Order: sequence, then structure tokens, then C-alpha cells
Amino acid sequence: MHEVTVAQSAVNIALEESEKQSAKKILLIELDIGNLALISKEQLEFWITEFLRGTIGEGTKIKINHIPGKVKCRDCGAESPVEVSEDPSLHFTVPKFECSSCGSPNTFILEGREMFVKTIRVER
Amino acid sequence: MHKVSDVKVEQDILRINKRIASENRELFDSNKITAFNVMGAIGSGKTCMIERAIEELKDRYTIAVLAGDVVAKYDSDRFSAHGVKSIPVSTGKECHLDAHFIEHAIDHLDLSSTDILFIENVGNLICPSDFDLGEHKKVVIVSVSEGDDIVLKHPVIFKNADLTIVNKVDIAEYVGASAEKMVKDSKTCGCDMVLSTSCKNGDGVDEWIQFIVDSMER
Repeated sequence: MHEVTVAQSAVNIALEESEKQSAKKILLIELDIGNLALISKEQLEFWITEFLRGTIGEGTKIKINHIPGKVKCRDCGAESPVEVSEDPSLHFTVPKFECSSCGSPNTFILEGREMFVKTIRVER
Repeated sequence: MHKVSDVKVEQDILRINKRIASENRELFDSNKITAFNVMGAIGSGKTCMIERAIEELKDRYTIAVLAGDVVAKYDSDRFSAHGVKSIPVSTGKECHLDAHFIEHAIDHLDLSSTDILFIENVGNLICPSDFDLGEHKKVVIVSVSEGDDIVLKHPVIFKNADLTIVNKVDIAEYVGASAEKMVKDSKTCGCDMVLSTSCKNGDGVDEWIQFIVDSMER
């Protein structure tokens, strides 16, 4: 999907923060990306690397933490992990949003859609 | 000596969009506007469904439309022909609307006299799901000609929709799709309210109108 937009925004955040820290170099950018954010991690990493060329972030390591999906049930209040299963007939992964406690589909997403720049490692 | 340190950032990558979306929503609320973000694939019937609503409701409410598309003029002209204010929001190569587009487009509207704002998003089932525009209700329109596995291929947009409309049910048999499966899949994805419609022959349009009216009683 919009990996280029997300990468550009992540790079802006990292560069702004490194400027505040009077950093000479960014050594690591750590991101939290939810499994339900529909982001291709490979694409995201590629574009961040490209956007950092010619900046103090050129050559930085990128660490992506995968945040598993979690839903909360509107009927019984239970929280359940979102299991992502391969469906061989459809050739894609299907997240299951049902409540694991009572089986209701009436749930809302609690976690798994995050896109955060968590930390940066800088050299001053 | 170089000093290396880890700095906590904890910044949401979409923070700017979320901030502008909240500002848009506050503006809508203060003007007593109910805003609908109408999403769906290219050709699913978004424009037609909004036109139906305009015809049914324009005598009772003041309606405005933000027509989002890569080239927005054509849909916007269709809305204007119904006698409502329509602003074309051409996105160029952007595959979705974001809150910033809306912030600028609503400058061209008389908000204080508007009751209902329809925002027609760019035809896409993926990207719009991440970009809050400041709307009150998210509507996803999907048509049987997209194939009856389309819902399960894009579960997140349906999961977060307040209403799913399965459109063009009158041609389901000709395109070999099961409208019933699409309704069931939408519910499995967690969208409780699902309508089967044919914008062309009017099936289910009354329920769509009722959803809009009910949504205004916030």
C-alpha cells in the first residue's frame, strides 16, 4: 500500500529527533509496525534506506518489531489475539477477528494497526 | 569521543494525519455536520449511491460533496448536476484521500449551512483504511462484479466500516458471484450492518437513506 508515504514520514520523524539531539549520525531506527497495518516490511525498509541517502542517517540499521493483532469483544469483553491463517484456496492470509472466548464477530481492533518510530540510536 | 545513545521517540508515523483529522471532526461537530467517508473499489457504485442519497434527501437537508478521485472533475460534475455544492478533490497520483486534502477542500464550503457532507474517496480498498479524514461514519461499497472473494481479501477496511453495501446484486448471477457470500463475509469481518443493493433498480436504497438519517441523530 502506501509504503512510500509511511517511509517518508518515518524518516522525517527520525531526522527531526536526531537534530534535537544534535546527533552527528543515526545508527539505528527502531519501528513498531502492527501486523494488521497492511505494510510490506521489505518495501518499508527499502524506501527508508533510500530516503536516508545523503543524510546523517545514510547506512543506518533498521529494526522492525512486529506487533501482533489483538481484538476486544463488544459482547463479552474478552480480549483475544488475532490469528492470521493461510487459506490455500484463496492464496492469501485471512485474519480471524472473532472473539476466542465467545465466538462473536462483534469485536474491535485493540492492537495491530500501529505504525510508530519507537527509538533511534544516535552518535553525538 | 563519540557518544552513542538510544533516544526514545514513540512517535506515530501517521500523527500529522490524525491531528488534522481531529481538527476536521471538531469543525464538522461545531457546525452540526454529519460527515460520511464513502470508500470502495473503482466502479463499485460510490458515485451512484451518493447521487441516490442526494435525490432522496436534498429537499430536507443541505448536502455538500467532496468528490475525491485521481481526476475529480467528472464525478464532481455529476453531483453538481443534482443541485448540490460539490468540490472536486483531484489527488493526482495519490491513491487515497487524507485529512490534509479535506482540510483545504472544506475551505470552499459554507459549513454553517451544511447538514450532510459526503466525502467520496478514491477507488481503492487498501490505503483509505489507514487515513482518518475526520468523518463520523465510514461506509464501504463493494460490488458483485469485483468477485465474491473481495471482502476476505481486504478484511481490515470492512472490519472498521460502520456500514458495508454489497451493490449490483441484480447482476450477481451474470458475473458468477454470490452476493450472500459477500454479505456473510462482511459480517465475519466484524461489520454488523450490511445492505444488499442495486443502485440501478433501487433495491436496498431505502435502507441506505435510513442509515444516513439515523447517523445524523448523534
